[in-house]
Amino acid sequence: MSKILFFGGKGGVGKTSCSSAFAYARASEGHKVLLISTDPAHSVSDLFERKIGSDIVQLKPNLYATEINPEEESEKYFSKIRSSIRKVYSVVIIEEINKQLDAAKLSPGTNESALFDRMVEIINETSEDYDFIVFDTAPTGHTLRLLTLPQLLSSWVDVLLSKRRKTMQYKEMLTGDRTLVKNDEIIEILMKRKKNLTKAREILIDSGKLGFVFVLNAEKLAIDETIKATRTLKDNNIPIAAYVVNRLLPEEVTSDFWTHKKQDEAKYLAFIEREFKGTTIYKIPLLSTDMKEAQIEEIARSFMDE
Amino acid sequence: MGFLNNIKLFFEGALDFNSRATSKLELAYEEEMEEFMILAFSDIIGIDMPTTYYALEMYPYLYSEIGAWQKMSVNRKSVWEDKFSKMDMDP
Repeated sequence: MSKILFFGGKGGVGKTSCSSAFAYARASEGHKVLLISTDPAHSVSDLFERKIGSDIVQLKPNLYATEINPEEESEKYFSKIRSSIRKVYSVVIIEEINKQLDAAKLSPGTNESALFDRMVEIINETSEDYDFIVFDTAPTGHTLRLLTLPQLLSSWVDVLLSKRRKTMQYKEMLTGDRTLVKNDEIIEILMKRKKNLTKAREILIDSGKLGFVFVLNAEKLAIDETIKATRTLKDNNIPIAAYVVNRLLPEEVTSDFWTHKKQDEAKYLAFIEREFKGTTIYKIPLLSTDMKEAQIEEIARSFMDE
Repeated sequence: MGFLNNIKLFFEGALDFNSRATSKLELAYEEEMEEFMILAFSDIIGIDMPTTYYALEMYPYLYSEIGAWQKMSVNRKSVWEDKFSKMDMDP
């Protein structure tokens, strides 16, 4: 099975529970696992009933976790930019640039971009250290964007690099200064970004370590979305590692209401098994209690007998 | 032929009184620069791109160049006029 797994699915199907239980299962088998939450609600902290935060912490033997906080990450990025301004300009100009940065901070794409940057950073830094990296992510569309971004960004960086190089070469010819290309900060910044993106792409896409896990419930809307998203992932050449059908009703139901529900569920489950034939399908029972650490252990068992 | 051509090029360069070579270089420089700016900082002229965030780290180093580019974009009355005025129409 692939090494870097993204758990995705429609909102509310139980992504956090399933990804945590999956990570727990692999960890108890003796693999070293890193569980990363990108969910702004940070349900992993709630689930394990302890504050996790943006540093990697150990939850159990072999099980590590971290939560990405996009606001914190973008703040880090902006303060890095601010410190590089101080090296270059006078106070008046700094004021002007800060205004521009503050405006950018409010732009709708900022948090997502910061999240993506941090994900790339974690993948680049830790992929050697863990047997499994499990991302508990936000709803499907968001994840798709995150996974297709390296492609888009690398070509953007490539074009910028070639344009900047040409610009500086012309400037060298015009001024006679032969050190411009070599000492250009912009080229340096772009090269660094290119290096990170290339590395992330190699790890994620070329090495075949990436896999997507769909969490869904045995009901119409969740199935519809999963089918659509499966198609999009296949179009983008992202392999699907498994499907997890969560919250299955118990076998013995008594009242008419639940019998009816159970019949519907069986129908949808059969449909799921037909539709996604050939891929691992995990079936997770509905629990009578809230998800806490003890319940994760219970669910983890469903991920163990493959 | 190559030798003759080189001599021709030499005199063309040496007797370039209107400094056409330099202005051609300047033109090429400006064009590359402008394309870079549009690709990196299009949000400044109102075109939002998914790459906006990633370009920000270059902003401090390009501050004055961005200012000049912005002024140029605002003052330009017509794209065509701008392009034609830069062309060398002499034979």
